Amino acid sequence: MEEFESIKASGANVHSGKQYKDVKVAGATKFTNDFECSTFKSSGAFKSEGSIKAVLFKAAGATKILGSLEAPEISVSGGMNIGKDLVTEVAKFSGSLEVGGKCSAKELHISGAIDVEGELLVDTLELELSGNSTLKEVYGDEITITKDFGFGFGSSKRATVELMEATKISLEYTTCKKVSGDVVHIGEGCNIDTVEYTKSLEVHKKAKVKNQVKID
Amino acid sequence: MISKRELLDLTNISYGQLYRWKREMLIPEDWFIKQSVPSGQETFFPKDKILARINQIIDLKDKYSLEELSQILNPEINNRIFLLREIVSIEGIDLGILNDYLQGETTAKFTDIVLIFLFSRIKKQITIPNECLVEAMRQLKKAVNEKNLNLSEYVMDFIRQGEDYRFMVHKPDSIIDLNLSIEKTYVFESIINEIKEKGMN
Repeated sequence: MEEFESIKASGANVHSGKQYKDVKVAGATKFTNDFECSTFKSSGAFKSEGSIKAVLFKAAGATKILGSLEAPEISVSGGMNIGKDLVTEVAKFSGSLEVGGKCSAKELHISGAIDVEGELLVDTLELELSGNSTLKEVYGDEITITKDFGFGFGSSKRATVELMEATKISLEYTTCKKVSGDVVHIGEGCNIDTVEYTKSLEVHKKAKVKNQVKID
Repeated sequence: MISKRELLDLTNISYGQLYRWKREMLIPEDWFIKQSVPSGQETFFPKDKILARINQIIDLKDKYSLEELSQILNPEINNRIFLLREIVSIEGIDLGILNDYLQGETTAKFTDIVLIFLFSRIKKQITIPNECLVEAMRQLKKAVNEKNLNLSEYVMDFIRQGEDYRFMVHKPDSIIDLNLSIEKTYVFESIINEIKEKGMN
């Protein structure tokens, strides 16, 4: 394989390459093209006007990608905004994540807030709410939404989801039109229109479920 | 069409499995067809296709890696990996040639199938000692795989000079000694089309 150059930069810098080996940037950084690299590490204000493909993607600070992000391993803290799709295997976010397109992940761990415009397809989703989250359709194997134990006004920490389907679902402080699963736990603060379940359903006394449907 | 609920019941798989295979692109996204129903929205699938695909995945998932599995199920023929039982079912494949070619391997790429098919045909059409044929086939297999040749751009001549046999693979516009007596020419592109027409999609 061809060897590509690596970048190590700090301060205000702009890059326009399409292939790099390792990228390590700090400060205010802008990439003007779609690019691929092996490892990507950024701190500070980062903006990409195109899409990024990386093996490992790590960022702290304010990260904005106008295109898509494809990286098997992602670790981000701070605010992250992706214009199009997010495709990953294992990703950890703390802070806020906004995705303009679809999101596909094997494991997605978020502590903070998440907004996804398109479909969210995961094996495992662990969302610890510390802000408002909005999701459209969530499909997966295990979905867990909890509220963190931080101080502040609890009412502002809520996940709003249109539709959710998974083998195991456990929710807190979630509003959803329809939840379908085999094993479903509806915890404190939830407001669900319809729950469809095949094996078991538990509903917390401080949760509202309008319709419960057992499917045999 | 079959609804998602019916599908899960019928195949005994979980939501998680269905969505994992979708994420891993073992089930094409456009097979998930959303339709409005009185209770809101429901997902439907093309029944025969999805049932066949899920059975295939269940059958093969422990034997192959995800990458191999995706290549087996991938409709893009040049990237596909074919299973032994699929190869055997192609009309015109000679089992002796197949065994000599694969030498114990249980899967093959499309270019391998083209060579197996071609040599099965040669065996039928040309009188030549089997060991010469197998030797030529193995050499060609090695060369094609090493050079990663795009076979469709080549032709193969069979040359007989007395008791001597030669195979020559070259581009159609190559300049060749006119004294060579070419007994037969095989055009890879037409062989490839013939195999594709047999339904290897």
